[in-house]
Amino acid sequence: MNNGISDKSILEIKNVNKRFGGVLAVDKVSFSVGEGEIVGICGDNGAGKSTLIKMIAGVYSPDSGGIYLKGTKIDGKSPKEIREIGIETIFQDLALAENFNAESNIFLGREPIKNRFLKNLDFKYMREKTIETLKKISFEFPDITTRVYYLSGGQRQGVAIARAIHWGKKIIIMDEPTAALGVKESLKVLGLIKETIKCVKAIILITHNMENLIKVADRTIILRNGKLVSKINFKDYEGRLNDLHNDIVKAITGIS
Amino acid sequence: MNLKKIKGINYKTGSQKAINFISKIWSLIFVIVLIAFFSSRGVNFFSIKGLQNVLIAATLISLVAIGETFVVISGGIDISVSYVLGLIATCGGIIMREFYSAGLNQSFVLVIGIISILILSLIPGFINGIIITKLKVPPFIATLGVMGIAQGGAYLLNNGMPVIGLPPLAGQIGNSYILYYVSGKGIKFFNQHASFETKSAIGIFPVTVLIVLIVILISGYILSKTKFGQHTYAIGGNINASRFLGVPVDNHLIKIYMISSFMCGIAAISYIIRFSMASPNAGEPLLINSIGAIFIGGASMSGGYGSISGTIIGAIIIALLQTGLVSMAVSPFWQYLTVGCIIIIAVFFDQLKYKLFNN
Repeated sequence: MNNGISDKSILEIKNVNKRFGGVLAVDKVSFSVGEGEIVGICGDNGAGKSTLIKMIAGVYSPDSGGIYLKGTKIDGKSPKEIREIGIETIFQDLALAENFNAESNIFLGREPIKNRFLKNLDFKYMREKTIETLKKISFEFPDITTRVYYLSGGQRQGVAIARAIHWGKKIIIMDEPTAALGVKESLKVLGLIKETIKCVKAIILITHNMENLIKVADRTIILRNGKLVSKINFKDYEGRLNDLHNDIVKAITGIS
Repeated sequence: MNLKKIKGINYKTGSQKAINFISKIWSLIFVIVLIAFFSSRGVNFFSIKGLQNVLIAATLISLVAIGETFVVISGGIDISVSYVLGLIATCGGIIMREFYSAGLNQSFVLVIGIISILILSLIPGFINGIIITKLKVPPFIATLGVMGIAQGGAYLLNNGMPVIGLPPLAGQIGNSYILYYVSGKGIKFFNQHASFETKSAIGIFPVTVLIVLIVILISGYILSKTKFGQHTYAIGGNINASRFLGVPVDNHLIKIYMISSFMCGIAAISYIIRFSMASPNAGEPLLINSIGAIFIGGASMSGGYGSISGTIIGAIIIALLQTGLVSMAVSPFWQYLTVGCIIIIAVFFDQLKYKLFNN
């Protein structure tokens, strides 16, 4: 029986539970992410999406169940350890320091040191690696020395994605990457996500926006009140976009 | 449609570019305007003595402001600097006075005094840091409380009186120079004390200014070139992102507040060697002056911006005002009024700049 865990999966979430006081935020959720896949996590506000990804990112540890990266248990590790094993998360509000330019943001918290005694930063290395990473996702920049403050929403996402690619060699988790963006900027970010999947093993995408999700993801899981209520593979709906929409909405709202 | 590329937007319109440029150089323009104004009123800044007066007036402001710059960049504020300086100076003064009156060698007394000041000066900052990071008290309130404690302590220690009876060597060092111009012999390096200065030997480079210069170089390096400096800006820019990305935010903030009070310690030393005494209210005018210097120097109230060079320009502007007004025989109370106005104007323009970019 296929219980959502495929053979080629890189990340497996098995029967994960998380309770906050009287609220069961995540209730026995199991799913897997395969290599090369972009997997969505959909759901209404309070459905448990954020809690779920925070458990993967190491911010919370699950009360029960397990999270496995290629068979190795990784739940209970600190956010730092999770990043070290190659899982990067782009949180909406925890992404960038606006007073920094792209390179300082990409290396924030993990700055390369040139001389151990003088403890000076290796700005040249930072610049070179930043340009290299931005090229990987064909991300064009007006001026690499510009502080993030002066960048558009889409460009900011680009910098956050570049950081994730530079460090996250395996999985990148994106929390509402298009939430604050207009239609045009959203499309650009979706383009970046399509480039990103070429650089990493898998992407997990959290979004409210079904349209955007369908444009980039391969499949999605849907959460409602902390429970996984549906798994939808977009390939099964080829040419039936309306049915796909209806099924997702039904799963999110629980109204048939 | 090309999904691949995010094209560069032209984020700098003409007026934005102009505002950005002006905000970067206005303080330098202000320096020139001040010099021109005071010169027209007969104040001479261009003699050796005139220049020295400005630089010496800027020493205490600069020292306190450099420490405070770290705090402001990290998004905090340290109100306690004024009386922390007074408390440390009083402690150091009493230690020196007691050892000296016990008949110990002057140089030994000075070394003991300086070392104890440097060690003691780490304590108020550590307390500030712990209150702010562990007890989660906002920096303004935490340091205000510590200022009250320091003020009370400083007055209680010596019954509110200045500490006198320090070794005379302190004043001799503090008012001497490392470079002298001796007529007929050219430039001489420091090996004489203050009494050496006569009509034929003119002091060029004051010792207290040298202390500031060394501090500027070290702190400027730390802030602009090292991981420590980078983390200071990062915390000011986005404290939650910094924490999430592995910056040891709490430890870093504690260190920053310790730097601030340590700089008060260095300022206390230069106060003692300059005035040959210690006073509980030694740092009183320095709170407004140092914070003024930082904001004139381009730091932002919300953190993330500021620099040592900017702060030093700010300190020089305030020193120019002080020495200029004194030379014009204007009441020193006007200094406070002027500096207060300049702080408000500087912060107003800072806010205006961001408003313009947001629109």
